[in-house]
Amino acid sequence: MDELLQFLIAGLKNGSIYALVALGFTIVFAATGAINFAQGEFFMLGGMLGVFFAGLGLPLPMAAVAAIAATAAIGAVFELLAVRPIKGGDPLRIIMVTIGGSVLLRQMALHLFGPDELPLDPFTEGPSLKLLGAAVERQTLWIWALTGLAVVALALLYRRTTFGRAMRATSIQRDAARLVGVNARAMVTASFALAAALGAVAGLAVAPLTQASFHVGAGMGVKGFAAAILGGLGSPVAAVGGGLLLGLLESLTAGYIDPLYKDAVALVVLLVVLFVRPQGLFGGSGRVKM
Amino acid sequence: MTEAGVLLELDGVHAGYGRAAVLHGIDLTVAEGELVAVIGANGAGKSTLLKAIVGLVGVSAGTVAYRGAPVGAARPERLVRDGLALVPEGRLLFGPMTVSENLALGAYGAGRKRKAATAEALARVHALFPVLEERAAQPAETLSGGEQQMLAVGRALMSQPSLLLLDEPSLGLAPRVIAEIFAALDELRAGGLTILLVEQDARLALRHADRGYVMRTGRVVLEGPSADLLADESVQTIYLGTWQAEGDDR
Repeated sequence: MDELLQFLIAGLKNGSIYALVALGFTIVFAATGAINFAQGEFFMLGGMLGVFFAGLGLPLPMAAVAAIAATAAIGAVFELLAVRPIKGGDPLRIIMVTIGGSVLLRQMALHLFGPDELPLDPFTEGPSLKLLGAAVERQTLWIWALTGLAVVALALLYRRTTFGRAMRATSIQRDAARLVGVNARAMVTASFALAAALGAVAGLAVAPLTQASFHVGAGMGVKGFAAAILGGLGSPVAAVGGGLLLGLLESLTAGYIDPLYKDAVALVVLLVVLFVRPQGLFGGSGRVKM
Repeated sequence: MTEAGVLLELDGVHAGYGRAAVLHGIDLTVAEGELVAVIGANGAGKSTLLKAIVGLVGVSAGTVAYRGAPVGAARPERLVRDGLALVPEGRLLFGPMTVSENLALGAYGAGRKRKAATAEALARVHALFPVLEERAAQPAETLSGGEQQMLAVGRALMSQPSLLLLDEPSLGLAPRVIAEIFAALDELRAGGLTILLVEQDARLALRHADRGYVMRTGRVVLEGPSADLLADESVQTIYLGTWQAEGDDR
């Protein structure tokens, strides 16, 4: 029983990270109809820039905010330079460009920050906490808290602000959004910035446990993509559900079958979902509902 | 009609999708306070005409001038700030969003910084279509067709336009609902709003309009006061009386 609880905690920890990355996929998909394969690199940049800003002597909270803001800015610039010039916003071309962009971002990080794995201090020092006999690292609580905060903030943005409603309107009915005065292209830029910020939050939150490195983006991109597909790419709630479920599946596979298979779970899930239920677990009509 | 009173003027407008031209030199004017109808069969280019005016379709030759200034390559999101609102074909509502969210978004471009004016606009829309107030919290996609059309008109009115463009507002609606919507258009027009209406139901449109244009394969083939068009023999044969027979031939 204790063992199961420990697996569940580990699963929900990783699942929260996947959820944040999957949210990024969902947001860009809603705005463009395309998969942003550079999403994993935003996760990588969050950790790397966090280490970088902390290295400049900034206190950790400020370094974290700076890293998130800088990653969001990189996301926006990436959209402006690479995605916006694509004529007609053809999703297939956007996908190609984001694959190229991911390589570019990864190599830039390698040249700027070097090939080493870089440590980041835990957000709060101290021994693990006990929960019903299982150990929970303090950083895990931070991951859950930050994921929860990001999801609530995103929901408030979409439901309660004019800007968020304009983003939803653009994803539902682009021409009509333009007709009421929404700058649809700016909304696409905003979606990349938002997706990058969420990726950065995930990268920052997990860096104290795994260390930051230039090469972690690709793997996380696959996990986040699998989570988003599992959820159905349809809504933020589906992305979070897909992320948590993937984390749990991985953790239980590693615990009860073989840890070697852990990383294969995402790929198996991806293939099974695409073959059997391409609209995802929580996807209905294939229509995006933000 | 004095030159100063012209709100919208199209001069030799050619437009279409990519290389496929749909409009072949359209001349058209709408004066302030007028209700002008563009009629014609399916595929005559009526919807493309409205899309070209707001910039959803590119104009390849000729000019579209609004308030005397060419709109050039203006984009719809800018035109709505200048008082030009389109109720698009098929309504294009934000389906999963509520009625009140749809209306609030209608004021996005024009009324964002003027809260009091937006509240007034909402009150006017509710007075015009009371059902929208009753259904405020309902997702737009759950409304009936007629209510959806009312919402589409209401959303466009939220930007407090000077010129309202409507694309086939009667399409697929029951006669009672059509009457309600056209009564609302009459009311808006009486209140001073200028309206350009594209409509397949020629008789209905001409009954409410001051003037009309008859379009055929991307060209204006006839224009004049509504009463003249309603009395015109060729219009009667093609669009008012036997147009259905023509439709059956295809």
